[in-house]
Parts: sequence; C-alpha cells; structure tokens
Amino acid sequence: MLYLKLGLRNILKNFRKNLLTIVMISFGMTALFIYGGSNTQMFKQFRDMVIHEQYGHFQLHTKGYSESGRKKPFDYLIKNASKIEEQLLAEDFISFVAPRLHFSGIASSDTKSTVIQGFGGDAAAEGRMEYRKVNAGKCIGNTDTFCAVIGERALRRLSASVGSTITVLSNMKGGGISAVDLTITGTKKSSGEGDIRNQMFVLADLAAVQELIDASDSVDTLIVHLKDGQSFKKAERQIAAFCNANNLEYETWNNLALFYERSRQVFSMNEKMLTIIILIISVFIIINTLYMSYMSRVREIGTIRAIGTTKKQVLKLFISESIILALAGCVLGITAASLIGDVINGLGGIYHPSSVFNEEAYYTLIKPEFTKILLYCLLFTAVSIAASGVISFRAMKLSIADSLRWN
Amino acid sequence: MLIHLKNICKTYALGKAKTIALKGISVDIDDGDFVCVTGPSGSGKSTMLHVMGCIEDPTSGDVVIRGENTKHMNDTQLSRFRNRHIGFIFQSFNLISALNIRENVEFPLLIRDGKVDRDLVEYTIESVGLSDYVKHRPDELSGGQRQRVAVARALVTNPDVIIADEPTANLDSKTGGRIIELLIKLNQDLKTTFIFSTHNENLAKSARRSIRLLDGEIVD
Repeated sequence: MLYLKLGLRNILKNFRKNLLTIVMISFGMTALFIYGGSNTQMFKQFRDMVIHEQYGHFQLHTKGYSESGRKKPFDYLIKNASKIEEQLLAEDFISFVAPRLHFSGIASSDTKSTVIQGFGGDAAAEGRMEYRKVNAGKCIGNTDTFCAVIGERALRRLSASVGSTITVLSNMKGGGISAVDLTITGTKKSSGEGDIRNQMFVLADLAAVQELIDASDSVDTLIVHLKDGQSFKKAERQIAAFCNANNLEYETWNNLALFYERSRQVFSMNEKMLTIIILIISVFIIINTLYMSYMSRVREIGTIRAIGTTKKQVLKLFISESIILALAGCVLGITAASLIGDVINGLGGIYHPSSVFNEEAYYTLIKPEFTKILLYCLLFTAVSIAASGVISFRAMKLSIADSLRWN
Repeated sequence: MLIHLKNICKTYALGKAKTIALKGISVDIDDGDFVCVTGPSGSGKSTMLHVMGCIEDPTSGDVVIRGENTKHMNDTQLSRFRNRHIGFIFQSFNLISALNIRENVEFPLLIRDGKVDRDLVEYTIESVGLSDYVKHRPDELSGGQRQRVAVARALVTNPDVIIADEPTANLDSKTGGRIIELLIKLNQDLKTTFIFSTHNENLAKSARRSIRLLDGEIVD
C-alpha cells in the first residue's frame, strides 16, 4: 500500500510528464480495442456465415467416407436416410438437418452441353442455407420436383435461362447411365468469376437426384445445424455417440472450413503484430517517462536507500508507479475506445466491401471480447513492469553515496 | 563502544586518476556521545560519515557497529541494519516531496515492517516542535522546519546513532544554531548518540567531542 500511495503521489507530482505516457498507452489501447473489436465481430459474422450457409455445425457420413468416399461415393451412402434424419431431428439440440446426395455428370440444353457437379438437397433445408441467395429466379421450393438452381457459368455454357429445361446425364449407382430433365428455377449468386464451385454447380431437388443415380432414400451427407445457444462441445459428444450407434462418422465445421481457419490465423497474426508494435512503442515511452522521473529523484532514492529501503523495495516502488501508469492508460483507452466504438456502432459499424469473406458488402460493429481487453491490460501492465525493471536496475547501480551527491 | 572504525581507507577512482579520501583512520564512538567532525572541504568529513553510516563501503578497514562488522553484510542486511541502528540528517534535508510531514516521519517505520506506531510518530513530531504542521508538504515549510522534520524522521526509529552531514549548511546561522540546540537537547534527553559535521567553528564548540580531519587523516 505504501508503494502504491507513494507511486500515485509521485505520478501526481509530475502529472504533466506522466500524462503523456498515460495518453500514449491509452492510444495503444484504443487502437487495439477498435481493431480487435472489429476483427472479433468480423470473424463472428464470418463463422456464422460459414456454419449457417455452408457447412452446418456437423456433417455426418457413413463410416469410412472421409477416407474412401471420394473414390467410391456410392459405396458410402447413408441408407434409410429419412429415418436417420428423423432420429436426429428428435434430438432437442438440433435445429434442422440438410440431407445431400452428390453427383457429377453432363448437362445439356437444346444446343449445348457442359460438365457439371451437383447435389440433390431438401428444398426447405437448402433454402435456409447458402442457396437461399440466388442471382436470378428463386431457389427450389418445397413443392418443386425435378427443378434446379444452376451456377452462372454453367448457365452461360448451356445458353440456358431461368425457366428453361436441361437434361442431366450421370452414372447410376449400379454402373449404368441415367438422365433426368430439370427445370431451372434460379441461378446461384457467386462471389466471383473464379468461384468454379458455384459457377458450374447444380442444386437439384433430392428426389430427382436419388432417381438419377438410382439411390432411393439414400444420401451421402447429413448436415446438422444446432439450435442457437447450444454448447458445441456438448453437442459434439452427443453427435459422436449417435454416429457410433448408427455406423456413421462426423466432421466438425471448423475442420471443413479451412479457408475460415486460415483467414482467422492471418488476421490473428496481424493483430498480434500490431499488439507487439504498440507494446514496443509503449515500453520505450514508459522507460523514458520513468527515467525522467528517476533522474529528478536520484537524491530522493539515495535518501530512502540510506534510511533503510532495500533494493527490492525500490523496485516495488517503481513497479507500483508503472502499474498505476499502465492501468490509468488502459482505463482511459478503454473509455475512449468505448465512446468511439459507440459512435461508430451508432452509425452502423465499419464498412467492409464485398470480398472473399462475403458476397455482399457488410458492416461490422466494434465489440471486443472481455478476455481480449483483459489480455491487453495485462500486456500493457507487463510491459510497464518490464520498463520499470530497466529503470530500477539503473537506480540500483548507482551507489547511495553517489545518489546523495547528485545535483 | 558503539562504533569502531579501524584503519579505514577510502579511494575513489575517476578514470585513471585515484583520489584518496581517507587514509587509514581509526575512530571509536561511545554510546551517548555528541561528536562533531570538522575540517576543510575535501578533508574527508562526508566520506567518513558515509562509511560510518554504512552507505559507502571502505576500500579497506573495518566498520564495527554494536559489535557487528558490517563488512560481512549483504546489501539487504545493510539496509535493514541502517534502518534499525542509524538515523540520517542531510544538508539538503532530503525529505520525500510527495509525502506530508507525518508520512515522511512514518516512512522509516513503514519500510521496516509496514507497521506504524501513530503515538510514537506524533510524539516524535511534537519533540521537534512541528505538531501543527503534520499535514503540510515539505515545500510548505521553511528550511529550519524541514530540517526539524529530518531530525524527527531520524529519531523515530530510536536508532543507536544519528549521523548528520553538515545539517546546518543550508540554514542561516540563527536557525542552524537552533537545530544544533535541538540535537543537544535530544542527546541529553534520549541519550541518542549524535555525530555531525560542520564548517562552523562556533557550532563545533557546542559538541562534547570534536574530530578534526585534514586530507583524509585525523589531525586532532
């Protein structure tokens, strides 16, 4: 308590010099708060989009699918899919299940043909995922049969349009070749010309694809979406138990969403770099302030050493001052950043143009995680303590007698 | 015997040049002594007091206080030893400017074990005549008052010896005289040993014992 009191008094005594340090720390804190807060929200939105529109929380397949399913997809079909889907929907933590049956083949219009990939899906479930967004027309509906949403490039190659009919030719499960006619209800909205997956893709209704490849009531993937607020880890344990009981295997969304993970790592690295740069600048500023404070108090330190203060106690004194400076800077920074954040959030958030993360421009709010703010405070405090260690080391090197002679 | 200095030498090295401040001096100080150290500037007065006060190591020789040879103590032990056995009064008062008078006087007790005997602090401040100024900051006091605070700070730990390095040098002669009178009174009342240095021959006469230094040697 003595050290904190003395530290606080010393800071107040040289308030103008110390204010500069406090303001500099608060600038750093503000920058990290806003950058970190925006990133946190951006990746929260990105995560939600990845889960809700693309991968779901879990994807279930027949055991062995992840190893050999791509080579022999028909050997790893989930038979009695509707029964398993029903069992899953009976679980109170599951919101909905999207069954999918993938295929590849040739699509032909009246005049042209092209290679395509696609899957059959449940209209209601797909309408809640990424296929709810279409460029033109509409997604396949619950009552639509032998209908499809098609990628823009495939549409162009086929010289087709919304409303026209294409014929899709594909291998059947048993090895034969089959064909179905699909009416185009809409085109898939795509994030760019390079997005081949969307550009050359077909979503058809599940019954049509099951008929195409002669696999009634079979799918290769069941995409499971959890209800809001469910514990992912708890749900994963339950899904694992369900899979064991039904000869299935599962993959989690974060294992599937490699792009999300890689992007998050890149942004996380940027944030760390920014944090390190700000902390390095801060450490020099704090050292400078404490050094000026030390230089103006060399004799005072010599005096307190003479009357019995140990080196460790002098160190505590400097550490106390540095902690007060750091905390004052953090509090000021958090206050300033919160106000700035409120203003930006009030105006709708930070604008992000359409990019690989999102097909449409979007806004992110500034809402940093509490643990992140706490971490920044701890980092600034640690940096301040390190700076005070440097000054204390210098103070201890000077003998008491020399300190008392200091002018 | 309270303090025994035996063959103390102190040499300062400034680059390649060496300055000999003390040339093998030996001094004994008894309990309750009131000793004045005199001598011209550069004679080694401050160095002797610093060595005696364990704030400067001698180049050679032994400092024995209350039977303990300080040569064998590490820095922390020396700090605690100073806090328990030695009080200091400095020429420029050297009060902690961020603390008020009471806090300055309390400080040596706080760094000892964190405990403060408020009655003792009040009594000590009263004994130097500053009861009305306990909440004042050092810069709100006159030079004489500040030096009284320094005296109270030195006294509050009830040390064996108080070492005062030219305690009147920054005071006018009248105020300086009063400070010496205060030290004499405290020496008589509390039997605390005082060792002070001064240039002022008149003040030196008030001491019961005088040590005169010249060029690092005791001449009288």
